[in-house]
Amino acid sequence: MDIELYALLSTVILVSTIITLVFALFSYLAFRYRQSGRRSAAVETMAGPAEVARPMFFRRHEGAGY
Amino acid sequence: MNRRIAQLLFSVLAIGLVVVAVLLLFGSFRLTRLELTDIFLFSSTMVLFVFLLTLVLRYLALLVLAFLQHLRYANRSKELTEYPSVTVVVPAYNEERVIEACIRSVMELDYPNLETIVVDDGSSDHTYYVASKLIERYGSDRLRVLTQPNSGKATALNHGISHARGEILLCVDADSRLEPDAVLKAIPNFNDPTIGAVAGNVRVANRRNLLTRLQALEYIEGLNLVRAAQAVVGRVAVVPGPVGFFRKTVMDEIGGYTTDTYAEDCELTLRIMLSGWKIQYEPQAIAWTEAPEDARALFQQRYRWGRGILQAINKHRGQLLRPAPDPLSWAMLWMLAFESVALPAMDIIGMLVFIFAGITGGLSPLIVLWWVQLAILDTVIAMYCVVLDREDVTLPVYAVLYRLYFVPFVDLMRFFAWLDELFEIRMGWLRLERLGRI
Repeated sequence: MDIELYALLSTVILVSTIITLVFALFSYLAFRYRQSGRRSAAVETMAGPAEVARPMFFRRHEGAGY
Repeated sequence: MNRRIAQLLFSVLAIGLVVVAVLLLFGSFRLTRLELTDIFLFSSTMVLFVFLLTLVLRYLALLVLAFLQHLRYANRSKELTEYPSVTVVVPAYNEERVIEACIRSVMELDYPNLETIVVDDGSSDHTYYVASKLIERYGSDRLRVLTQPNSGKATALNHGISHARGEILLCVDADSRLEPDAVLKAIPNFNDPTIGAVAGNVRVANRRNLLTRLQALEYIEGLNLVRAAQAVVGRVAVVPGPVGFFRKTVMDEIGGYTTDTYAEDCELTLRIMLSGWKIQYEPQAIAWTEAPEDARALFQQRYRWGRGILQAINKHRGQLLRPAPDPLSWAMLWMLAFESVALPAMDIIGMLVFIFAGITGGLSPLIVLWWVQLAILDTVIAMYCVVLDREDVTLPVYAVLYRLYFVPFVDLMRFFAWLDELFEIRMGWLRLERLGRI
């Protein structure tokens, strides 16, 4: 394959990857922003009130199975 | 010690160790600029090679196992000598747009011995009214509608299960629609007394835009192919929420759903599997589900899945070091950890290496060849899955876009979900807005 074609295709791939990553990062930041605004509101959750964030490595041993 | 301080110390220590290791390496060799570039190119090439090799071997293993399962499935007995009673449990929270379609599909199931329980989880819309209205049409002996104060999906499911009279439970998400023969196809699996649960085949119903078509491809290539492969050894790692069959005695034995993870279906499946029961996959028990139609909704869904699966693995992390008494379940737990943690992490590392290699230059042919290989691999796998699953033949067309945009986006969502889980960021259920398109 021609070396210019390689350069062109690799540029397309890289630009696409970077755009996707930046888009994902902004999606996450927007999500965090929305979540922070929601904290004080009364939220009815499908998961139920018992389901809160669970610590991974510094878990307090509470509840069944932990 | 305060947990926040411990987390901070842990993170600083980990980053510090990596930085020190890199400095020591570079310092000890007293590298020139040319040597550094050479080493960078060599290490980038090796990282990408190992990643590609892992992906190819994974796909190869999945293909072989899925094909073996297909052969075994074709030869198995599908006859039903008797029709065990089945109870369909549908938990619903603010599902007024979709609940009628869901109940209708359940009522039209081609199975003689069936009852349905809808559990309204304290909805603030007209879900309970819409569901109750359908009792007039179908009769209270076939359809019961329960209600409870908002307590969560797992509690709603347990509520419905506690009223169930069937020998087999079919748990269905309210945003899903079942094929008429779904139960008839799944029940023969329970002829084997060692099978405790059966996972159905989930498909995307609303293929209205590029994003939902990419998800349709992901469901057959990324989820159903893995389930088919795991079914060879009877250890499917996740019985999906939209269509999952369970032996009632098994559900009673393990205590039903728990409310301590965001992926209650995955956690339940792991408990069933680790209790020694086999879990099968039934490709013809089809449920059509409503997939997120925009990036924001997709983000919320995958973020919740990411954290939920990590919580489920973490909950059973003790089993990761215990191959006995069931090495197959142990292997499947590791496979789940690999599929949901290691593989996305590798993908992200691969992408970052790409970007660095591309910016520093010199690897253009490698980058192009890498993507061409991946695109060919994804397309071939997609075609195989389409044939096996009798799916839409146009789906493999999206394989290139799937690898280029969808996989990086979803993997990064998972990465953020892990970070938030690690740092105990609080979250709600992140319920998706229903569009009424099932």
